[in-house]
Amino acid sequence: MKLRLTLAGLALLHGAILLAPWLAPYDYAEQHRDFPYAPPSRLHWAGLRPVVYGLVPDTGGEIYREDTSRQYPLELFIHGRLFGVAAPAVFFPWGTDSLGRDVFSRVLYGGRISLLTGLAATLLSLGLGLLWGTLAGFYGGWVDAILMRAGELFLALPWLYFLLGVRAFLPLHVSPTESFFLLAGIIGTVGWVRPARLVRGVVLSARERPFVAAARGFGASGFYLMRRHILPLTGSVVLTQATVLIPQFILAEVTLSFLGLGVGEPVPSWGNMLMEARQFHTLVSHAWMLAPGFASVPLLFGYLRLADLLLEKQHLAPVADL
Amino acid sequence: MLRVEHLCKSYAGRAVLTDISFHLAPGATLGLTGASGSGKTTLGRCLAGLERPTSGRVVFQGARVELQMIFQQPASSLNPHFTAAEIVEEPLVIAGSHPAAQRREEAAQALEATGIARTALHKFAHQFSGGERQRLAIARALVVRPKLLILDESFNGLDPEVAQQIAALLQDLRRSLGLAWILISHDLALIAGLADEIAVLERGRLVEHAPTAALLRTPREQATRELVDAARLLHPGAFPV
Repeated sequence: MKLRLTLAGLALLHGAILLAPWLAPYDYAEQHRDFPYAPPSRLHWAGLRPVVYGLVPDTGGEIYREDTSRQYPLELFIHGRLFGVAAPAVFFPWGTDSLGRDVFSRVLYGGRISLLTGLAATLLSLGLGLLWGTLAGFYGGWVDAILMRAGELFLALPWLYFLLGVRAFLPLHVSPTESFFLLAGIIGTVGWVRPARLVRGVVLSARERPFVAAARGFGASGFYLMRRHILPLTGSVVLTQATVLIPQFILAEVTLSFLGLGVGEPVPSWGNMLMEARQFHTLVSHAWMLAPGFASVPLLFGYLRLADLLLEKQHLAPVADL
Repeated sequence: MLRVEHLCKSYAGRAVLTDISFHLAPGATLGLTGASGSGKTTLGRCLAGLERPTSGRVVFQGARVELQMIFQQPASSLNPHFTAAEIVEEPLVIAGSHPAAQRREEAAQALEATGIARTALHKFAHQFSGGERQRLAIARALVVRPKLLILDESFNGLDPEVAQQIAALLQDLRRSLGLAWILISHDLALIAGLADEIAVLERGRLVEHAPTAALLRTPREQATRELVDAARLLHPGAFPV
């Protein structure tokens, strides 16, 4: 039941992120220059119907008041999106940033970059880890020694400084697509050692299993043994590692983008959106700018909870009576 | 058919088998016995090609696949994620010698030869009883039409009735297919009832090798005498005095 609830919650979050172009009331790059740092719009009720008032700048430019002389109903399925309001009204569920862009819309769109980076990096990391760990565990001896020492060397590198150095060598303007692949590639390449070590452990034990010895006795090649008997045994480790790595890598994307190493403007990611909240006055005056940080919490929590539940399930699973 | 010449095996400098030599004729049956830790399983694995001898050699007159081993715990030699069909077909898949339909038919026939109905082909290993898993392991070995089977403590953990059925099955296979086998067991009484000749291992050395009746009647070595005495104590009346 817990597992189903967690999976349902994660599916809901992924669905929301995937459907960003439909769920978000505005495009991520759409600027409302009249409304920089507008606070989250307040919903009012006209009977049973949700409405918003027009927003007019008050003195100072960053302070707004509601023009209660006219109501604008919140409409469903408007302009090809799930909800919104008709012009000239505006509706910013989580407020706007310095350029008047809707934070809610940008959080949804930004989630796509952060989540996709996490997933792609995990795929890369697990792929490398699976290959490295399987070869080391299966062949053992000097192959194992060389591969594992190389892995340890990898772990010992001061990666953050290395990444900052790499960024310094890149051109100032890197396209969002290039940045995405670069980021996912770097995070995935950095993270493969731990899954490799875990896979190696499983393979070391699996290669001694009698059914592997039996297949070897029938003349099975190393490739056959790995493909048919050994790799399937790493499935549960790989699955659990995936649920641990995805949130870690999403967090890594957020951190690296926050430091300016990720996807650049105007494409949003949770990390580059948080960059704006670095300034003290933004943080104290426009707390909604922290929304991307809070938005990532349920997703990260969901994945970590899933990892716990999968581990619990593995430990409680009855061992086949063999 | 099988010739073992001065076989030695050591792990990290520690000798486990020392200067083992014997031969086995086609269709013959040999019981390999000795106390725990005497090197029986290691010798079996060396004969099956699963361990490389440190020195000496094993000469088998036949294709590599015609020498098959049934493991100490046959059930654990069956992949729990495989169905009976996949388990029994596997040697043919590895050999790549038969089309899929023919493989399935060969597997069904091998299963039936061991007394399991072909309707069980879709079942997983854990859905079989202990004795049936034993038969499944034998069926898998039979599918490649072996000349020699090595059974390593394969009767352990089976109730007497099932053990008797498996023993009868082995005798049948010997008669019908001319199958030779080496039965590795610490249970001299079991071996004496099945094998034509017996070899006794002690601390990695082959101390005695003789026809079953002769070895039981006049054991020459101290280790053999102890085994015979123990067997007589546990199974009174089963041995000639």
